[in-house]
Amino acid sequence: MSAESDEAFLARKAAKRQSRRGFVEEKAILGMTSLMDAITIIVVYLLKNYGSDPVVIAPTQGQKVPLSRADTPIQDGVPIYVSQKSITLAEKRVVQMDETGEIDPSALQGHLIGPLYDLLAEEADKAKQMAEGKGEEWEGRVILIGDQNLKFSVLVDVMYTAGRAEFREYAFCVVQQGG
Amino acid sequence: MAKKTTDEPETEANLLPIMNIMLLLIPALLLAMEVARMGAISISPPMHAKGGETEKPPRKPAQQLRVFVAEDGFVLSGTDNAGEPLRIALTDDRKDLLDPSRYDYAALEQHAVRLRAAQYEPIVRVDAEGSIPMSALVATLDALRGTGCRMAGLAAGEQPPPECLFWSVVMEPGVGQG
Repeated sequence: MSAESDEAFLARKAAKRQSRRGFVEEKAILGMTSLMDAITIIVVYLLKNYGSDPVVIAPTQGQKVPLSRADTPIQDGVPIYVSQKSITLAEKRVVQMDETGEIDPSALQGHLIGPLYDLLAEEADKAKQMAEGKGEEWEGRVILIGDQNLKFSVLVDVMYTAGRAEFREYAFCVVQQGG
Repeated sequence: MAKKTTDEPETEANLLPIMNIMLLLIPALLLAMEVARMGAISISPPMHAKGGETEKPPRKPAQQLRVFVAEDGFVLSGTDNAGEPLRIALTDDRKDLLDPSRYDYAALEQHAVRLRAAQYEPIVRVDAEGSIPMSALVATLDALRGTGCRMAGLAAGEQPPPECLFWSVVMEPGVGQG
């Protein structure tokens, strides 16, 4: 007799014995309510944390944001991602950089970065309308999320372009040291 | 004889589909959250400096600090352009431009403490050479602000504590070494 038929025989025998004695095995039911409570609390906590940040900063691939002791929280503004490879605004790659980390010369007119200016002017109009709708004053802030190796000359071009698009406050995004 | 029962059968809510959604939401939210804690350094263009007496012109113009970050070190001067600019040399000029220990930030902070005590305004006007990396610029601003400076309440309208030295930054590209 094989091991399998042995097991089946023993199981049938046990079942017969149990039915003779009037013993019925109880089905175990998994208690889900307490687990549901815990998970609901976690989800609400995470949603609250996610929603409390005015701007969600997600650096582009390969971008290293500089470290700083600055502990001022990021205030609402238009984020501009400036990496060693490109400038990204509103999830659009606006300008490409060359191998040396400089802005593509065809996109530059003096210090003005043409494609970035067009998009920033659009963003400024949108932000102004939104502020007007809320009855608030438009702060005109850009958040510069630059790479730690980004050259100052590139930073100046981006700031100059933002200034031309009527933005008048800048904030350097940094990673808090020990934060 | 079979016993008749009038009790309605108990129905239990099927929680499994809700549990599945919840368990998917948790990793999705965790992934969407920032892993590193972000902060901001406010920078003003030349016309929008905070912290100084810019609205009412004082009788005697208040002295402001100007810092130029060069490849060979820092150059400090006052806005009145009186006297020789102060130069802070590199810790080691063989170190790469991207090396965070190339500049003498401790010496810069010591001078910032001394100048702030000499009734300089908390406004600093910063310029740099085009090749200076952002990490060096940020570290320079950290040193000028001071080690003990905590400005988390600034966004809520609080004034910076007295430990903060030169906390109002005006970016003045192209001004040069004063």
